[in-house]
Amino acid sequence: MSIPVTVIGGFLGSGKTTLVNRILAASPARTAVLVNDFGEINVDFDLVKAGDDLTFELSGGCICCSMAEGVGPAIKSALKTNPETILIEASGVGEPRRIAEFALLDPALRLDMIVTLANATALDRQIRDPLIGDTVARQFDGADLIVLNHADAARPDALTKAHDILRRLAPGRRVIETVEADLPLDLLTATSHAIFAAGPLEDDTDHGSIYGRDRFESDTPIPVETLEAMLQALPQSVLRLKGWVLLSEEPEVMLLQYVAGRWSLVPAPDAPRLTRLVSIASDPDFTIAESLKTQAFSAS
Amino acid sequence: MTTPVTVFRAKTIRTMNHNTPKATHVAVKEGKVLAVGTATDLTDWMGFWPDLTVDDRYADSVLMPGFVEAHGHAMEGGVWRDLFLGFFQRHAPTGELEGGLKTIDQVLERLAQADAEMDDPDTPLIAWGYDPIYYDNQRMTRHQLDSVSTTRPIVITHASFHIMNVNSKVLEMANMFGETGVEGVLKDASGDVTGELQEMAAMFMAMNATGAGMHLRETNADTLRAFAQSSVNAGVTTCTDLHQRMDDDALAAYETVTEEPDFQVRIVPAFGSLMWDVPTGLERIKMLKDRGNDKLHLGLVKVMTDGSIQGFTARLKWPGYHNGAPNGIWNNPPQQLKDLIKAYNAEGIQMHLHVNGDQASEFVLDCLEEALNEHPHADHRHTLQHCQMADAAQFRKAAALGVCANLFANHIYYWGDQHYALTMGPDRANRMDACATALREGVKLAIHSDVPVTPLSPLFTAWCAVNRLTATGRVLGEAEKISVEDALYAITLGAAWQLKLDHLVGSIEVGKFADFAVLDRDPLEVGGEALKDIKVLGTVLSGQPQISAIRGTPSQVEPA
Ligand SMILES: [Zn+2]
Ligand SMILES: [Zn+2]
Repeated sequence: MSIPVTVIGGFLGSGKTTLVNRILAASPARTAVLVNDFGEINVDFDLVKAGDDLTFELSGGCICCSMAEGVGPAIKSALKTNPETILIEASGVGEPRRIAEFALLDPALRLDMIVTLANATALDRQIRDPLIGDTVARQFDGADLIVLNHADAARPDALTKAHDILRRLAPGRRVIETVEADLPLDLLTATSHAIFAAGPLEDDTDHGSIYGRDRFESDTPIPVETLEAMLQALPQSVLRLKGWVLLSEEPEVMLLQYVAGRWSLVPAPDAPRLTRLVSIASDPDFTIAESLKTQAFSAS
Repeated sequence: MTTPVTVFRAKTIRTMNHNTPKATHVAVKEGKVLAVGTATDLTDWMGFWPDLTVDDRYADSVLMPGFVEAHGHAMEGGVWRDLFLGFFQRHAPTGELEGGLKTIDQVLERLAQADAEMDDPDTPLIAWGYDPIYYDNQRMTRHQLDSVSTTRPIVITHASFHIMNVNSKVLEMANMFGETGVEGVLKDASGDVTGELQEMAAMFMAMNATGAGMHLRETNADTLRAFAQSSVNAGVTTCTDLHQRMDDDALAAYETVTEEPDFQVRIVPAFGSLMWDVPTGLERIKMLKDRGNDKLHLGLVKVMTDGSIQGFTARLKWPGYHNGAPNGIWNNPPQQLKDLIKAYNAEGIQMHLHVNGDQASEFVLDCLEEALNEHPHADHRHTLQHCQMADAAQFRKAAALGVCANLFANHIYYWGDQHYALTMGPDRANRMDACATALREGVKLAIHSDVPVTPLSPLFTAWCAVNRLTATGRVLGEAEKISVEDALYAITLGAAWQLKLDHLVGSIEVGKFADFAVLDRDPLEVGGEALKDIKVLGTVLSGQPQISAIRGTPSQVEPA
């Protein structure tokens, strides 16, 4: 099965390293991490559970060198270590969308999520700076999730302004405010096995008020049309939806991976014969059942 | 025991030393200049040095100090393993004339010829130097390349290094047909994959799928030897390799070749500072500074900041690109670049800073001002490389800070028309690579080729700075022309100064290395327009004659 890749982007001071460390702390042991070692503070390597052999440096240098020493060769080396997931931290001027193209082209990889961080206290100033404004703006291209970090340190008007800027630069993208890049970890980790287990959802009390989790289970097959219509119509608030789907048209159970508007469906031969989906949304009231019902209703 | 003395007798010797500007005889001992003079002086010398021999091989030639290329890349020694598809003709290190392909059909014909010359139908055909900017930006398609071969992967890297064209075979091998969702795999209006690949992911995956190596960046003993032959062909005796990771393998290759007695050039690699984190880089450059030999000079540091103007990746000040293209890209966040510049300056290390656009040169000047105020660094000789769009104010500031400029004069010929029409517009194009302004404002000047970006040939580079003619014959900035004398100084002592080697090379002067360029005519007699037509016969390095591999026409340039 292909290896999920998460790309983290954002300008200096946006909290990229903090987020990378958070993800590493919650990731499976065999997570390969590609970091730009040139940065302000290095990743806290203690958190890389499997140690040095899973850490790959992305060296800087001129653009011509990116062919020989950049992301491509680093991914190639990372794959040799049989990682379960790959986490790539873009450089301060890196465009996450362009890095993500590796995951889209390499059949061994699957793009899980592109997260771009913005600094709520500095975004307005950065965007107006002729030296870096366009560079900062380009980093939001293609982001699945924009994390407006340091929200606690920003004055209310600055926060409003930051949202306005993001709406203009990245219309239709999901934006979440955070403090210290604190995001629910089941949102960030592509392979949290807990999500597939039966039983009650673990309650993440810290985030309970902002995020809603839902689970849906059924052994009635779903028409593929209904599923696709539902996925297309999912509200902005749905950040991740994943699990097994029993489709009317397919003999095999399928594995659905939905991240912020992008999704993939692949056969899951070992899965039980049922539909079991789990969602995480920035709207506590979202339910999968409701969404499916709406589509089933409008289709009939 | 005495060491033998050789006297080279030449038609004319232009020493670039103003005390003895012109001579006919130069005596060499132990690889160094022992005396410079005339036939009359020779009579005295014979008295002092009984084992003196007179070498007449240059009796009909002109000697100058060996040229100094202060911005080139040893990659030149490696790229010729792949097929060159340039619009302009140029010589491979071995002397063959390649390129000069004036239409896409000629490009395809050249590919077909190369394909026919290869035995195995599956071996990848890798090419470089293709530049659609000269073909009205017409796009090449995979179907055109399929007419060359459907079995052999064909990969063509553009001159910009940011775009590739590949045939269907490569797309198939790299799984690039169908819905990839990748913007870098281009499609035409009907949704057909065109075979044009942009940016690193698509380009890397294509290269990787064909199994072709990344030839372009390799530095090994063989590429360095080929690079040395290119230098001889151009009259160059001191050449930079101005961006080098300088890991242990590269260092070993450098040490191996430069210790060979017949290695043909002095070489000056610059340590690529952005390829290492700052503390590791500082430690490494200090180690490197203590190494080297007569032919290997370590200790230079390169800092990249922006991209290239013709690739629309240089950082420009307002109003940006003339055709409205978005501003270019930084290699690192400016704040990080500033921290790095300060850290290297504080350790007393000289930096060569790649700045193409005027926003990059302005930013770097500001960084250097701060760095030098915090840590004064006497005789730093920090140098702005390319610095193509700097205006008079930036040159004045550079002069005030003691910062040198190495301007990319060859650009005027190769991309001047495109700068005029597309990138900068008339006014800024006229002041690009403003050699006259730099000199007038008191900036220490050199001019360069950035080989393999343009061909290595300091006399051609001097011709560009003197005549400022574009490929179509337009004079770009009459007011920025410089004299032949100033241009010759820039390719000898001016360049040597920026490498901190002016006490060793750059003029024919007693005590300096006996490094000469051997020419068929005198640059100060032929006139500025003919500088590029002077034939380089070879060089002399430490008194050892080296022969150019180029036969026939010396000119790199076809008539406009
Ligand atoms: Zn450069
Ligand atoms: Zn260069």
